[in-house]
Order: sequence, then structure tokens, then C-alpha cells
Amino acid sequence: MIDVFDLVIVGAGPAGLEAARSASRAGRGVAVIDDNPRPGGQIWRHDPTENPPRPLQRLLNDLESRERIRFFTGHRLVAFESGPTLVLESATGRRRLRGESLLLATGARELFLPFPGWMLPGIHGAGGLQALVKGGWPVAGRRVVLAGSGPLLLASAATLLRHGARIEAIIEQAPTADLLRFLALLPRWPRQTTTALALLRRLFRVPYWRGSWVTEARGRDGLQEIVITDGRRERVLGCELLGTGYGLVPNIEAANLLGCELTPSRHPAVRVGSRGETSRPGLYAAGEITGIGGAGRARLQGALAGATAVGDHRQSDRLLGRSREAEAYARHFARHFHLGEPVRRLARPETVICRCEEVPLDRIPEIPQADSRGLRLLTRIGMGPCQGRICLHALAETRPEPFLRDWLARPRPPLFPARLETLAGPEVAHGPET
Amino acid sequence: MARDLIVVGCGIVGACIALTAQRAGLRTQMVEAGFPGGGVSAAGMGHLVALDGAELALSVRSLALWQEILERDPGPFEYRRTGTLWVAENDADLAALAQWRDRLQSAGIPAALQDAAGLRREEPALARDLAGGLLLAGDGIVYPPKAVHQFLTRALELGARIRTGRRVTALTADGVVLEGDRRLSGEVVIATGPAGSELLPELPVLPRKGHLVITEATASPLRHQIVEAGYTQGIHAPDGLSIAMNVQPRPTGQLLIGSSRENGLSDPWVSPVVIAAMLRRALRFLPGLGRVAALRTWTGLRPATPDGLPYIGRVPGRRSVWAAFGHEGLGITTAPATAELLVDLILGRKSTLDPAPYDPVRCLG
Amino acid sequence: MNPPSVTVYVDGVAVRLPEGQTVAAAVACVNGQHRPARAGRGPFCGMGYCGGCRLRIGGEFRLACQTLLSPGLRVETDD
Repeated sequence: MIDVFDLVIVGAGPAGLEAARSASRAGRGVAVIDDNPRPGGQIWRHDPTENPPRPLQRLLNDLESRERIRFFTGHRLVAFESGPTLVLESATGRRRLRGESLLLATGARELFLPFPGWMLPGIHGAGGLQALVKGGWPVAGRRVVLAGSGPLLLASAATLLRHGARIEAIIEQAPTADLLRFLALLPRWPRQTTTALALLRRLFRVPYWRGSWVTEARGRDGLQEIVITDGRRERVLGCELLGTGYGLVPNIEAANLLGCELTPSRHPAVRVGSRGETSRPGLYAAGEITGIGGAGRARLQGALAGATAVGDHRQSDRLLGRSREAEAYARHFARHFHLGEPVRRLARPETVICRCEEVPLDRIPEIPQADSRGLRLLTRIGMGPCQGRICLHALAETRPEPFLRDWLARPRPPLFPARLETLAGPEVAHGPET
Repeated sequence: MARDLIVVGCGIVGACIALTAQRAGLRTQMVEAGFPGGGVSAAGMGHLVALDGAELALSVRSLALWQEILERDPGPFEYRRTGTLWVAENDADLAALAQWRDRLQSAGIPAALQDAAGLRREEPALARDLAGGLLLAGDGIVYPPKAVHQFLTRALELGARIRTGRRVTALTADGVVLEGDRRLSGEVVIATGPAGSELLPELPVLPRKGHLVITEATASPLRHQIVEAGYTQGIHAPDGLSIAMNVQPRPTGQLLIGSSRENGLSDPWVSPVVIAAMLRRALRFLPGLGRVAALRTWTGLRPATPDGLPYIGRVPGRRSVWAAFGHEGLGITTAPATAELLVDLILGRKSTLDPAPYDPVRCLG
Repeated sequence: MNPPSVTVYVDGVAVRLPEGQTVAAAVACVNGQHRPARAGRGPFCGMGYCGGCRLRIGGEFRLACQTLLSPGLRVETDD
């Protein structure tokens, strides 16, 4: 059986939830699916022993009062059948949904740049560590370093601090001058300013090293110390946990599988019109998958795309103007957190690039013609459970653009590892796809 | 003076020919439009199998050559001697397998017929209601992209050359024209699989699209490559979609699951309908695999000829143009024998195999 | 908020944690962070895509970081 809705939204983060609110305000039947067990996405993920973040609570209260909305949390979109019908997988089974319109709000993931020792136990994504801690992962009394780039380091540090971790340092690769320029113009966006000030207030005792990066992690069975440099001097810092991440890349896989046009950037995003329309009719995208721009922009885009997707033009027109300032913030952000050359080339010949298949750098040939596909075939990079989400984006930082184009040109479903019985589906007649 | 040979297409067949030709003293140059081994070769299952029917002689000779190659140098191919267990759903299938066993044995390939109990002993993960099977213990699997790379590397070491990223746009009286109007002269071998008839329109090739699924690494429940007895009939299904179960335990612990055939389709898109049908067929034979996770699915195009045999030999009516394409789904198995036969023909030597069945002249209008 | 605690079993060892926390947390409480599982790498991305925390949870292979604790849940880390 296929459940049919006016609008199916993939992703229950800020963009997805706002889209659901817009669409349900217009009185339409909405399904919101998310692989996380609870709504909120990454940014509003929270410890069950704490109250949900206020914006999330308000949104959920609002959505609870609507009748025609259904949440499918703990359900992961793994494939499409013709229609497109969405094939979802949960812990126990499969489910199929279809929408008159489809809105993708699949968010972003972290960009990891491999460095010697990054496979040691004790090293996680910076946002990943924050997410784990919000799920109860114990860090009280642990010595933690957060390293990489972007405000997520600060947000993660604040969460860890609240859970009793000892933050030894936050290490930001962007130079002080860039950060100051970023901060100088920040007051143009009051919401982002408030967030930044609150974070800095909570972290005021934590050393915040700018223009520095981790070149190596060391330890026997797990992380014991890291080597940090500012490009001139190295120093060693002891720690048990390291959260690392060099910003975010859009989760475009579902949109790409549906044939949505992407931007030609190093880490492509979904190309959308001013109201969230993708290149495919009936298909909308909102939030970080359209380019990294933060939760504020994601909420606006979500509300706008959700209204547009169900044909509520009055609501859509009203929201359109507000999305421009959010776009400006996204550009401002990207300009001042761009990655320097050294952090892209930290891997040594023996450093593993593909975590899943354990492929070290020196097994990845520097064949000029070798696009992402050729490399993949020869080395198996990107062929493991993460399906290239980590290593191919890391490699894209050092290879000529557009490195990912050949990889993306031939999507290979499922979108995530999925049980054979999920993909075997119900009995269907053989015939051409429509 | 050494003869110049231009091998167009560097898949498994082209790479094997280049290596064999270079060894035989020809000056070989390969031209590959994409990534070596990135076409049909990479998309396939990489089986080294003795197949019944028209291709028996070619596959038997090629398996012997593979044996020599793998004994010299087993590593880079990721070879595993899985054997092939052909399974029969019913007594009629089992009877057909018994007849095939006799043909195999007269060709010198040992094959052991299994009853239902024997089948379960060989492969406990199989469904309980199967009639029996036929075990070809000598069959195996390789990882095709690395096999191509290995043949290519050896050929380059012996002095062969390669140009990648350049398409051959036309044949000339004494060679080929590349994209950008660059000309190469020499005798020409066309080994471009499904694109063979672009340069040689007189030799028809029909693309037969196939789908495959690879799973995560599991504590693999399989010891052998498993193929259903109806597989060879599926190959020659004239129209539409045909499905025949074929599951391989890869050396990585993953399972590679096929197979489907769709005639005349040449788009690269994965069809969820075909994947679903293929997986249902696999689960019918291996019912315990439902909870194993699939990592990826993809498609490939088998280059099929009208009579199911590859074109190996001189192209009639053309000066010094040789064909080596149309191997359908058996190119990995039959590449070494194809290369041996073609190079013997080029050099005018007597070959182990009778060249007549593969002579392109048979399919000219 | 004070959700009730639940007892789950990691390789047979009982651990009591607030309902709504993740299996990844329970495994780390029992096995320590550096060896979160006897097999596999342990959590890395924390968001359900790296596959490092895939364990047998309640008899099924699932991602520990995306699975919430429920009373009596059994987790095996040595497959």
C-alpha cells in the first residue's frame, strides 16, 4: 500500500519543519520523514534530559495542533520507485509514500579533511561529537579539543562544556583577520549576532586559537595527543577526544538521484529558484542542501518552499522578501571561512582517506584523467557503507574540479544501505518505468 | 620492421589484446575514450565460468589461459576460486544440468551433479525446495577493474602505449582519426564492446542492459557462486526483461547479486522495478538474505551479437581492420582466448581454437 | 525534563540510562569511548551515515547513534 499526501517533506530540521508548517497552514496533508528518531534535525537535536530548544518547541506545538500532518521519524528514505514513490526503511520494516509534491530538506553533513592519525578511536566529527553527547555519550571530565573551521566548533564546545567536558582548546584554521572581518559585519544579521555572542559568552574561558590546525593525532589504542601548528611553530597538546570538521557540505544525494540540477561547485548544492523550485517540476528543496547558510536561512527557505509547493501563493509572496537578507548572510559566511591550502594536504602517503575500505593516500593514483569514478574502480574508495560521503568530498578538496561530477552523473541507489527485502519490494508487474 | 597495431577500446578485451600483441612483437597503441576498464568491464560480475552452448569452446580455452595467468600472478586480480553451483528448481532443470555435465566432461571440464541433499551440503543457505545442482569447481571470480589495470600495466611495461580521454571518430584507409583530427596509422582492432558498430556499422551489436546489486560485507553465508539453471535460457530471451539469479560471494565478504537482461536498452539508469524483480529472484533461492543490506546498485550494457558469439577476426571488405567485440556478458572469462585467437589471426599463425565460429563474415548482410 | 530511566544490556552487561538517550551512549558507558565495540570502528559522524556504529541491536543490525534506548534492549558489539 502507498500512502499519498499533498506534500512529502524529507528532513525534519529547521527547513523541513517550517515547510510543514506552511503547508499545513494552507490546509494540506503533509508527511514529514526523517531518519533521526526525533524531529529537529542536527541543529535542534537535544538531550532528552533537557527541554527542546525553544524554536523547535514552538514549531512542534504549532504542528501538533494541525490535523493533516504525519511524522515518520526513524524512517530513512532509501530509494525511489516510479512516481516518484518514496521507499522508506525503519528499524523493522519498509513503507512507501507518495506526494503530489516533494520537498527535500535533507540538510548538510560535515566536511572531513584526513590527517595522520584521524582514524584513532577518540576522534569524531565536531558536530558528530556534539550529536553523540546530546544522545547521552559520556564526556564528563574528559579532555576535549575541537578543531577545524566554522562556528560549529563553538556550538559543539558549548554543548560539551555543559555536559562536563574539559575543553582544552578550540582550533580554527581561519586566520584572525578573516574572523574579525566576519564579526565586524555580523551585526547586519541580528539573529546570528545574538547566537554568536551567547556562544562566545559561554566559552570565554576556553582557548580559541585562530589560524591554526591539527596536523597529526597520536595515541596507542586511542587518542592521547595532537600536534597543532600555525604554519610556523608546532606544539603538542594532550587530549582524549577530538572533534574535527571543516565546515559543512550539502546532502544532495536524494535530489541528485531524482535528477535535480546541481550547482557546479566543489561540493555541489541543489540549484533552486527564489521559491525553492528545483529543475524538476513538483520537486522543491530548502535549507542547507541548497547551499550552506545556517538555520535562519533554512527556516525562511523552508517556509517559502513549503507554501509554494502546495500552491499557497499569498503566503509564498509574503515570505519572498525576507529570504534575501538570509542569502546575503550565507555569502558573508562563505567568504570568511574558506579553507586554506595547508589543511587540504595534511594526509601523508600512509594516511587512510577512505575509512570504510581503508584506502591510504598512496594507493590513490594521481592519474590526471582519473575522475572520481576511475579512482573508485581501481581503489574502492567510496565503495563502503558511507557510499563516498566522507572520502570523495575529502578528495574533492585536492583534485581538479569538478571531481565529483562523474560520480554524481550516475547515481547508484540505494541512498543509504538498505535491506534487500526493502528493495525487493511488493510484487509488481514487470514493465517499463513511467 | 614491427607492425603497428592500434587497439581501440581498453576494456578487458582491448587490454588483453594489447598485452598479447605487444608480447608477440607488434607495436601496440591503445586508445580509450573514457577510463581504462570503466565501461562494460567494470559493470560486470567478473566471473570466470565455463558456459554451455555456443561459447563453450571459447570459455574452456580461456579458462585454461586464465589458469596460467593466475598461477603466475594471482594477487592483483582479487581472484577467488569460488566454483559455480548451478541450481535446479525442479527435475526438468536438473535433467538439463545432467546433460550439460556430459557435454562439459567431454570438453574436459569436471562437473559434479548434486541431488537435493548434496546441494544443501554444498550450500546450506539455499532454499530447501530445490531439486539439485551441478558444481563446476574450477570456476572463479576476479575483480574486473583491477584485472584490466593489470593487463594494461603489463602491456605498458612491455612498451605498449595508451591515449585516454580521446574518442576515435573514424577509420581511415590506414588507421584511425581521433577527436581533434589527430591521425594514427597502423592496423586497427575494434574492441569497444557495445560501441563496436559505431565504427563498424556492418557488424550489428545489440546492447543488453543489466542491473547488479552489491551488499555490505557479511559473514558470507555462501561458499560458491550460485547461478540458477535457467540462466543460459535467460541469455537468449528474445525480448523484454528476463531475470536469472546469480549471486557471488566476493573476497571482500560482500555478495554481488544479479542478473537482469533487457534488450535494446542503452540508458544507464537504475530501474527500481528491475532491482526489485532481481532481488525477489535471489531471495527465492537464498531466503535468508532479506536482512542483509545492499550498498549500491548499478547498470551495464552487454554487447550482444545476433548469434550470441563475439566477433573475433578480420572485418571483411576493410583493409587491416580487426573486430574483437560482442562478448555479451562473458568478456572477462573469454578475453584471454579472444586475444590469443585474434593475435594469431593477425600474425597468420595457426591457433588453438577454430576461428570460423567467430569470424565476423557470418553476420554481414 | 526528567525522562524515566531504562535498563538495557550491552553484551549482557546491564546499564541504566534515561529513556531517549542513544544506544551509542549505552555502549560507551559500558565499553568506554575508545573501544565502543569489539568489532567495527565505533561512532564517527554521530549523524547516521558513516556506518561506524552499526551493531546488532535487538537482533537487527542498526546504527547505534540513531537508535534510542528502550526497556530491555539487547545490544551485541562483537559481531
